[in-house]
Amino acid sequence: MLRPAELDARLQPIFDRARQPMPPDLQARLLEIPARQAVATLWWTRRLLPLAAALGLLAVAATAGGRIADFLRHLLGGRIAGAISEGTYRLYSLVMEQWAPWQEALPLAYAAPMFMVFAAAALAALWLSYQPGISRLPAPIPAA
Amino acid sequence: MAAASDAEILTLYRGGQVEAAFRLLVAAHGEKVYNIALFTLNDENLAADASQEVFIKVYRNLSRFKGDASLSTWLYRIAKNVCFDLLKKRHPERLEEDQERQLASPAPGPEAETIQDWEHRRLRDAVAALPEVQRMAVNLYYFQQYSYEEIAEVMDQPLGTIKSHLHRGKSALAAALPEREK
Repeated sequence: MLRPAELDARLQPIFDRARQPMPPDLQARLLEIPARQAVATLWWTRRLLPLAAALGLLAVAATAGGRIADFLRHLLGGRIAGAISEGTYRLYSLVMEQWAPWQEALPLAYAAPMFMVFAAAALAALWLSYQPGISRLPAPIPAA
Repeated sequence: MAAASDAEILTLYRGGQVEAAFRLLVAAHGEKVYNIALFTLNDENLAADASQEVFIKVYRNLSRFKGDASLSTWLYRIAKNVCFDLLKKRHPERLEEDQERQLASPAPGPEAETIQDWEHRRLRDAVAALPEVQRMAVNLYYFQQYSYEEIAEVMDQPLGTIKSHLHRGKSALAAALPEREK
């Protein structure tokens, strides 16, 4: 049985000779990491913009929908219309629980223009995110 | 250029010179990480992917590095985890294919391969035949010249276990190497 020192004396030179230089393309890829990670963060931020706009849109749509549901409930009263309006109304109530102050401040007359503003913002954000040079920024480096 | 020390790299990083710090980190550890990955995974492409993954993780988490261990110990612990994850994910069929390819292709003659290439291939095959933990311990020992204690820290295993793994790994390598190396 060889002693550890003897094993090292035998193996270390072989490992030293076997050491491979890093491939040049890998070195370039590694050095690009800070820049690419910064771009990846920006990329995800830009992807989140439409999501934020869509959530705003949902809130306003639920508000307007709730008002319409109220109207349907009074006007129709049938079972199907009732079920539809009930579902919409629940969503409306959920949103309003969170945004109670808005309920007073947002009469139906303002709901439609607000809805349109949010819709326009969402569309603009979506359009922006698909513009060359913005969304086509290099994607994050794929995981190994 | 002499490799930058951990302290120099961290000083630059904490001073806001992130890219410069990262450049020094790659210069100091890139080749060693690549070689450890190459000899652990026994595949150039996987080793390149693993090295990239290691440095992405290091870049993302460097701000959270607290200095409980040395920077390089932390980095090689990430490298160990990435390599072991890749070995786990690697499809068993792929491993079989690799083994079949090795058996099917006889070693090229001396005219087609330099002695250094031959040694390199032989060593890689011998290291690849070791169990995973022995393989990583041996690679850290010879490529990074880590002490047993440092390897135990990177591998998160007791010192006695590491000593045993290293002794078995080294003995297996010595036995697998050609007679003229003995």
